[in-house]
Amino acid sequence: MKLKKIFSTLVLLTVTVLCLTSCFMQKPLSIGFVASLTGSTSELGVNGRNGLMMAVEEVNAAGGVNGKAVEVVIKDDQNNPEVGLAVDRELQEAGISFIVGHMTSNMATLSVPFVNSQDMLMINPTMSATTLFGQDDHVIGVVSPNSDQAAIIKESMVKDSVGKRVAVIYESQNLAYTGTVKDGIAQDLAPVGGQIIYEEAFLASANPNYLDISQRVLSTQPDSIVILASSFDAAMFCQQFYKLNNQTPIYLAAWSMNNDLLLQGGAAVEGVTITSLIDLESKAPAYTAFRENYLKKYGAEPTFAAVYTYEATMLLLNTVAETANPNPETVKKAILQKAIYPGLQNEITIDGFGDASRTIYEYVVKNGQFTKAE
Amino acid sequence: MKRIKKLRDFILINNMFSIIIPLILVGLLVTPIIYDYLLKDMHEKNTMIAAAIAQRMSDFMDDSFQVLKQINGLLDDGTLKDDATIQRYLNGLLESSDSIEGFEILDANGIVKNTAPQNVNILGANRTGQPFFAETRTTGKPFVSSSFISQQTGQPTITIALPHGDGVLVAYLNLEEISMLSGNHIRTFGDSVTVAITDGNGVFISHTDINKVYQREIEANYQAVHQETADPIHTFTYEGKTAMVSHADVPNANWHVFVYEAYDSIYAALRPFIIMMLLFTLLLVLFSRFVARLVFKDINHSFGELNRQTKEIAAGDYHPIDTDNRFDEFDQLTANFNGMVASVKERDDALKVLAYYDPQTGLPNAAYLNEQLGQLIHNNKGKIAVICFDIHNFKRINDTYGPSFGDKILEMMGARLLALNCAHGFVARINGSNFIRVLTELEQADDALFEIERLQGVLNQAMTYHENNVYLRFHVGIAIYPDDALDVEELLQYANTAADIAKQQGRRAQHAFFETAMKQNLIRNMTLENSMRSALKNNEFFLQYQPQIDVRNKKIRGFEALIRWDHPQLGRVSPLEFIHIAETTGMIVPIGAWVLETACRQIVAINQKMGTELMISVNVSPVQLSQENFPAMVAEVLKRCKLEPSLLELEITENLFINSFEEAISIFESLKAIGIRMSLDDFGTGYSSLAYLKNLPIDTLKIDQAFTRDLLIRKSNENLMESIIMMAHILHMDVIVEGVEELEQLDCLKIYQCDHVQGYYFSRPIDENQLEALLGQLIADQAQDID
Repeated sequence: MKLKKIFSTLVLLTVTVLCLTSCFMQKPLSIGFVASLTGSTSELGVNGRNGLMMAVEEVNAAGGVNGKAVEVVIKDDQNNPEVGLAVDRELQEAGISFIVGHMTSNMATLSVPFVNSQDMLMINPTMSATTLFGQDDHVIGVVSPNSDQAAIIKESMVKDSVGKRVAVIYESQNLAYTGTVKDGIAQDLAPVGGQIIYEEAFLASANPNYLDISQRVLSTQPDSIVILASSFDAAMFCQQFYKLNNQTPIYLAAWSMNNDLLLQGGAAVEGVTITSLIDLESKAPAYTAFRENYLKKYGAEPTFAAVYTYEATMLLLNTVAETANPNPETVKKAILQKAIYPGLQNEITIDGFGDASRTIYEYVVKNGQFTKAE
Repeated sequence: MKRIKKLRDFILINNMFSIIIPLILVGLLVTPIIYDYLLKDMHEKNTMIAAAIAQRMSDFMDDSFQVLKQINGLLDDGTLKDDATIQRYLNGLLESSDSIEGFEILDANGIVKNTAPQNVNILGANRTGQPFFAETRTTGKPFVSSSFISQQTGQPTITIALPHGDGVLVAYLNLEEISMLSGNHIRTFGDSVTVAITDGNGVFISHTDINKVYQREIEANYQAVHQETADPIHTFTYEGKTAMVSHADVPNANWHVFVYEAYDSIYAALRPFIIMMLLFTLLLVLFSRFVARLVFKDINHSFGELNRQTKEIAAGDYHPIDTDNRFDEFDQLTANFNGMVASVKERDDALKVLAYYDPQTGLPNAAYLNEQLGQLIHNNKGKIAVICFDIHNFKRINDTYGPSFGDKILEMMGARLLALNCAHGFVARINGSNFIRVLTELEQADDALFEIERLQGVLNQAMTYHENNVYLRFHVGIAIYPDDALDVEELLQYANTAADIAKQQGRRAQHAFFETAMKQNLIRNMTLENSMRSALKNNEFFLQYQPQIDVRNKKIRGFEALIRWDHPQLGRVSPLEFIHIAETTGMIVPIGAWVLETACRQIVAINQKMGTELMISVNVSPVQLSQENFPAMVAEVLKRCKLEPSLLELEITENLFINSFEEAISIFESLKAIGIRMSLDDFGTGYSSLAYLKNLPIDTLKIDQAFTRDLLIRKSNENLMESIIMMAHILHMDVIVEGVEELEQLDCLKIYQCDHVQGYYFSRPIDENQLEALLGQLIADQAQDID
């Protein structure tokens, strides 16, 4: 009798403890973040991660998602599609359904089909290859397609009344990106009688001989030069053109839009025109607050990668919070249904394919600073 | 209700608590102190480690700057005068250094003039955008950049710069090398601490997890650690573990060294102390149990002994408790118990005296007798004589001298009997004047007689009190166990019966042994008593009538009604037998009433039929007379029967006056008020007090037949008879002489002028159906006599 009483008391106690534990220790919401965090293209990834962490910390400080703390599993895709696929699989096997990433378009070739084949949802901050657009897939983007960048570059050229002969230098590892921008430019130039008279690819990871390439480009005497590369590579090319006393106007795509361009470029990037995915002078309250916090935390200006990843993360976490039974399918539906989201600087419109359309800006480097073009 | 617990458990548990609780309290007090000490110790140690590493890093930076200074010096003093020399020298430096992976010499415009290793892409590049150029030029001071990923090596890198003339000297330092350097240094402090170095923005420059350096992660609590707080000890949670963070600055690089140590290591340091404490507690508890058991063994012994002996006492064995124990408290307890036992025993004895002894005589009482006699019978040790002796007429002594005199007599008797020291048994007072001597070890019945003689020898001596001498007489009855009866009650009853018999026999025999006949007599009396009530209902009683004749003219005066009982089983029962029983049971009241009414009706019937005025005499018992409503009852009967009161004569005996003379007078007077006659029966057998005769309104004196019987034997008897008759006549009383059986008697009485006679000479008592015939004959005889 007495033993029975003790036993039942123990059972009751255990059940109570378990109940209380489950009440107080909510399972956290795990999301994945995948980007290139090491190597020469890591600037984009590191900035993206910083933006992501800003969003996660902000959400957790406000009590998490429906009371659950957000936990991020960060993976480095080393800007290598195969590594990217492998880490995506690792996340999937760890039971993670939501991924923020990747950040360079070339990663899409293996990662996007994989994510589509799984019960997963990928929020893409910066992969802007035009080929990714118009697909009903498991990827939601917050970035405009490259065709928009190409159109801006073309318009800049038209506005600047430069000649119609264009030389293009593009990075070949991230061809998914550079290729579509290049093609977009060619497509856009054709109606105005312009054409790409010279193009040369280089592989960033293979110690490219920037000087030689630059000399070859100049030897074709183009009216304008377009460099589709990371900020460092773009800066290195600009340095060569600077050394060669080049006067031909140079146009850069948004990939190069980075402080590193100014640091590495110095006087060599003065006067260069560059498309920007963000408005550096934005006075939108959300952005100024974000910028202030970012500066305080990281000691540097937020880049577009930071802004877009922050926005992508917020889009995901807010929608999960608002969805009754959050799983990749319902969250995707919810995102598509809502269609318009507040970005840090302006609204993000997401269409039925999960593709975004956003304002793109044109900047010129003036006195070592990015200055919005007239 | 208060829970009852075992003393042993109580002592053991309390002993255990008295050890555990102070130890727990000490533990609770000491553990935080030790914890605090360990915490401070850890903080001091880790701050020292941080400072040591910071110093090491500072030295490293100094060394690195030293290289730049060396280049600067060589450039200034013209040792490195052309590009080729410079190139060679720089390459040489690169080869000899682990951490420096590149040099750049910039001119005043920020243009790269020299670079090592040689790189055409960089040579001639514009570095005005780089802080290492702009800031060094502006401040003129050595510069340390934040970390970045080198595009050449793909590894985390920082730059240091030193102004050189208008230009700047720049060196690229590989952070992985720095990490390794600090890592090697850290290992000497053991693996419980983790060390990290961040730049001025909190970005990791060195970390055990090199990925944090590669990915330029920020120390999560960088800001908090740098805030000035009252508590120098910073505590944060890293990967689920709480860790203490100590830090030191590397001033010449604006770097920060962080040393992390999880609190687990404090707990690990505390664990042996806690385990030791617990072990110590356990040992103490075991030891205390051992000691408590030892102590309890003694207590238990004392308790057990006390328990055992008090149980014996509770069972009635009042002996003092005798224990050997080691505790004063137990001795006191034992002493108290013994005091209690003694007082209980004393009280018990007193109660026994009260219960078993008669306070008046100091002799054992009936309860004692019953118990002791029962015990003697139970033990069955030979014959026992139960001798009952009853003081003759004790009531009269009381009446005569007052009850206190009687009490004194009893007291003196008790004293004499006690002084006698009766061996073989005892003497007890049962009640009133009834004493029992129990005599054991009887060899033969006659042994009892010796004892009786011995007792009487003592008791027959005069009792003197207040100058009054009293001599006591006793009726003694003896019953023998096992001859007469086998149980106490019967023995006592039989002894009493024998005493009664002795009493009835009067002075002739002062003692009587119980006989079987007495037993049968007892049984017969019981049967009569039991059947008496139904007898009245069943008309078993009937009346006989004896005529009373006028001596002078032989005229019938009337009849005396005499009751008879025709018992269905026992046949005719003598009134001598049953009247006594009826009086003791009170049945005499209804029987007497029946007799009165029956006799009155009969005489009325006869008188009516015969045209006579005969009287009827009815005997009345003292018991009847003592009934308050008796006179009223008599009046009622007379009224009912329509009998003239003067024709009814009630006969009473002298016994009536024994109780209270005054009461007797009052009863007489009320009866006389009705108009009836009163007659004194059996005169001459009892006290025959002249005082009664003088003071009572008696109409008729009936002289007992004993006088008649002796009348003719002695002359003196004749004289007595004559005197009595004369005296009666003087007192105006009618005289009736009973028991006249012979003519000589009648003649004699005639001479003495006796008024009436009654006896067989004229008629025996006859049934009512013979009345008429007798009357007829007597009237005829009378007529004949006259003739």
